[in-house]
Amino acid sequence: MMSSSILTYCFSNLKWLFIISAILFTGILFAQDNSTTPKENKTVSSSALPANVNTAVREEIQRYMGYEVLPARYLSLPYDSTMNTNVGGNFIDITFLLLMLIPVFFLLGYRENPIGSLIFMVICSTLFIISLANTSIYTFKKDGALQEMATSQELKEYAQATDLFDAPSTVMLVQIKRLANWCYTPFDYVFNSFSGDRDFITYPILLLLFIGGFFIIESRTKQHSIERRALFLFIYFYSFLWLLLTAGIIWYGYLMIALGIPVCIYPLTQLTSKTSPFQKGLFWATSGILVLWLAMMVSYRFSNYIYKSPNTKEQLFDTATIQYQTGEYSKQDLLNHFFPNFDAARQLINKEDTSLVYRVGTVLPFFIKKNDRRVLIDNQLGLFNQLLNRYQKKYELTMVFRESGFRYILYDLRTASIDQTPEKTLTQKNKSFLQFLYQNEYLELIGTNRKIRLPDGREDYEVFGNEIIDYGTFAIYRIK
Amino acid sequence: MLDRIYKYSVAAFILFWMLFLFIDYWQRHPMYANTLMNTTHWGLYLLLGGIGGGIGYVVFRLPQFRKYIRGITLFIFCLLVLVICAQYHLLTSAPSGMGSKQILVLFGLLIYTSFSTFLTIVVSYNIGDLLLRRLNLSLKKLNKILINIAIGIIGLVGVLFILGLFKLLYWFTVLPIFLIAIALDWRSAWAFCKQTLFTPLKISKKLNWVGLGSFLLFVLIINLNFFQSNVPFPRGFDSLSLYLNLPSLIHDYHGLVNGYQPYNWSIFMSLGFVLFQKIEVAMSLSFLGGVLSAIAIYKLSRDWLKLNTNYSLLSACLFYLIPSIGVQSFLELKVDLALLYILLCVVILLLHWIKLEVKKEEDQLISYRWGIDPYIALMGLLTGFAFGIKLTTLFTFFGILATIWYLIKGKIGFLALFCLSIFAILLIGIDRQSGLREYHLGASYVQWLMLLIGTGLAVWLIVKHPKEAIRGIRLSVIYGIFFILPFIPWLGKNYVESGGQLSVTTLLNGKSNAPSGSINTFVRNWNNSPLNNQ
Repeated sequence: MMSSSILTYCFSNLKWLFIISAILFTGILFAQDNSTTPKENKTVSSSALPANVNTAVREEIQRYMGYEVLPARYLSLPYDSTMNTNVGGNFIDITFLLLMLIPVFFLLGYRENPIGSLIFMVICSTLFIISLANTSIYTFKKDGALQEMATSQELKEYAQATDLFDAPSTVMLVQIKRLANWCYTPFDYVFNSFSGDRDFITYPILLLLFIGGFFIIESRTKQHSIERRALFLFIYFYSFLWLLLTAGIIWYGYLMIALGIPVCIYPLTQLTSKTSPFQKGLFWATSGILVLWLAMMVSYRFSNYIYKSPNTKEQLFDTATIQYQTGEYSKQDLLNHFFPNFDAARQLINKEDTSLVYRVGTVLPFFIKKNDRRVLIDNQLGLFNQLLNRYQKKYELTMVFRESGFRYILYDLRTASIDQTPEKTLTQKNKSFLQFLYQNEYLELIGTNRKIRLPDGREDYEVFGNEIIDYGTFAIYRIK
Repeated sequence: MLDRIYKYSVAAFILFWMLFLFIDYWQRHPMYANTLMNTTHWGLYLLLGGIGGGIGYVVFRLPQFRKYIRGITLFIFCLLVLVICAQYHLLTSAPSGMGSKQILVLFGLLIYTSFSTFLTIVVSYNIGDLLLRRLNLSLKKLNKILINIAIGIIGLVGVLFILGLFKLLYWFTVLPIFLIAIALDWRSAWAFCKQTLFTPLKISKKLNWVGLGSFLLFVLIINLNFFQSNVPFPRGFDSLSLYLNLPSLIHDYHGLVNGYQPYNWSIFMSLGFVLFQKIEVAMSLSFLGGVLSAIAIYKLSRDWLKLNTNYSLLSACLFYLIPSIGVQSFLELKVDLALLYILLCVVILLLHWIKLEVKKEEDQLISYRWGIDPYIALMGLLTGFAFGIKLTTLFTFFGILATIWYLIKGKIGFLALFCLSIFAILLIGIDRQSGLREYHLGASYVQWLMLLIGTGLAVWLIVKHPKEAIRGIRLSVIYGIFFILPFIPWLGKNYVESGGQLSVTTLLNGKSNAPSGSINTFVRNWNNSPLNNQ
């Protein structure tokens, strides 16, 4: 019965084999042209990057997607976006509900089609292995430091050193990750043989997967009305384009999340009328998880989306904000509260509106008059790097800015913090920029919220010093 | 036996999948569990829970009091809840709470912002209603409101765009537009106000605690987000750098700003500065997108998946509680949620269109003026407007086309459009925007292969099913034309700005007034400098 199902499934879709074969053939044909060896591709160095790669885009945009081997970069994107493995932060957290529930409920409807169900489980497992093998697991050491575990050796050491009852969830994750790493070995070999940082095969693989997925969804949703099916396919296509083109920037895919949430809830409503103990159990387990998630989200919202230490949990609002809303604080007071030491510099810059401002990160240009005409944005220091290659002397480089009309430099002290690239290109550029600022007698610091300790033990607002007390966010310089 | 093995393997897979993802997420986001475990808000939770319980009691047990549940009472209730929350916060974290004078100042600010936002919605609704009245669309009440507002915003932004071109964006030029929009059909505006503020809310008989709890939680979170967006400047990087900076610049120049990708929603947000003279209103117009999106999700859950009221409310609530959405609703006040609202309106129209298509197969009597299907035209118009908010709308554009073709000719239609879309995407180089093209050495081969397969499938369709294929082409062309329409003004502006250049980049971005970031300029300036020659 099972084998006849397979045959029926294959023959009914025979006409599509042509399309699939054609795409695969093209991919493999050109894959053989790829002259880079797996070893070269495995660790990407800046010299291995193609000359036409825009490092600013790579640093800023592609960090959401990660920098693993190219096919895995795409295939792990659903997992990465859910777990925020590449870039952390609440602004990109879309919850685990979609990734957890949609495949489960997709599978539940496959009762009459074991082959479809098996294929679906294999696909999910494969994507899961690829995703998990390309990410790290984090845990806190006893001294509170964050420990990252990615390689098999690190995982093995942790598993041997930690008792299951000491950290049950971490030990379980570590063991599963070890298994995933092992299962990933053949994929690793294939990916590194035919791919790397650049390849011919990733687009064909993704397109083939899309077409395969299309048939699976088509067959799985047959019992649904046409409007449901059509919109399922619409979401599917939209999500695919998001995966293919956006480098994992989640807000470009809000539509799939907005439509995905009711899709998660829909099968839950179907489960309530079922009598099978497993389905009943599933209903209650899902409901329990939902309630727990809701409780976490509410408490997180009531903590004003901040969790730094247990003390901040009481900060439902920012007190200064309420003081502004109740008339106790002026706009100026609030500005000083959020950006201490900025106002004097702001007034100086706004004294006239013709001098130019060179900006590296920071949100401060918002407060500068005619900022669309005065501010040159170089957030990833691409221009600075070019200039530095030409003018190495501090005087010369500073005067190059000055002679082009620039009088101020706005610098984000955390510029390098977004750098996730394996080559650490932004970190290097940032280091050079700091060297440019350091003891530059042609520049004058006119504002910063970084607090340092001076050699005599006093505290002061400065960029460079013995000990940083408060890292701060900005520094503003005037070009003399 | 095999059946048993199959069932157990599916069960094992499901259990593993759910358990692993749940634990993994928990492990990677420790702050959520930490805030839950360390919360000290139990007093506030108890108080708010008590209020919610009281409302539940009234709704479920005292039906005679349901008539008092209206938009306006809900608004007053929200203000009171906010004062409770703010007072609670100040009493626990600050030296003292609010006095009556401070409460009045707070009320003044919140009422002014909400009134200005509501007035903008009324005007948008009225413009939309005036524009759509003749089309006789068979939309349900709430859908109609959502679509009217969206279309009205297009009309309003269109007018503001024209004023902006001539540097005429002042309060005294915009106010008459608001007044005229209301005066043209004040009855409709009044009916809308009455319906949203003074008519008792219709409460479903099937409403239970899941639905009511979701609704109250949703309202509470909206409340908190609105409250925290009433500040003199946003806290997000993107909003300060771009999305709120643009409305502020529009206000400063009384006109459009040169350069930048099309910024329809920023023009809309600039009303906050231009007409209402308050940045809080501009931010509220950004915040509005999230609320309207959640309402649209509620409606789509009802109409598309036929979820009951309770689960539909739960869907809207879950969506609004997602941290990424929350951040955009009160910290990073950008345009993504506004874009989402417009796109959800497109999906609502698509759903109606599909339903009509299904009906049409049974009864071929439906015909449209000039042969233009109004649903398709409106979808095009809204998608085009959304394209003027963010260029990623192209994903929706291709998705809608593929869905239309799926409706017309099933799998082949869908796949033909899929192949042609991928061809177009690679040809235009959309993957270059995120810098991904450089990694795909065979992209151009894939591009042409996709064209080949797509054309093959399309030709096959035309030969085998000419009638359906021609209809598909006609609908696609109508959708495409209406998609382009709201974007034409931007193309014109950018063309003029760039001094008549016809490249895709300049047509999409215009020519900015920002200082040149070209190294050649720096080198030239330095070479010409007397300092260099010293």
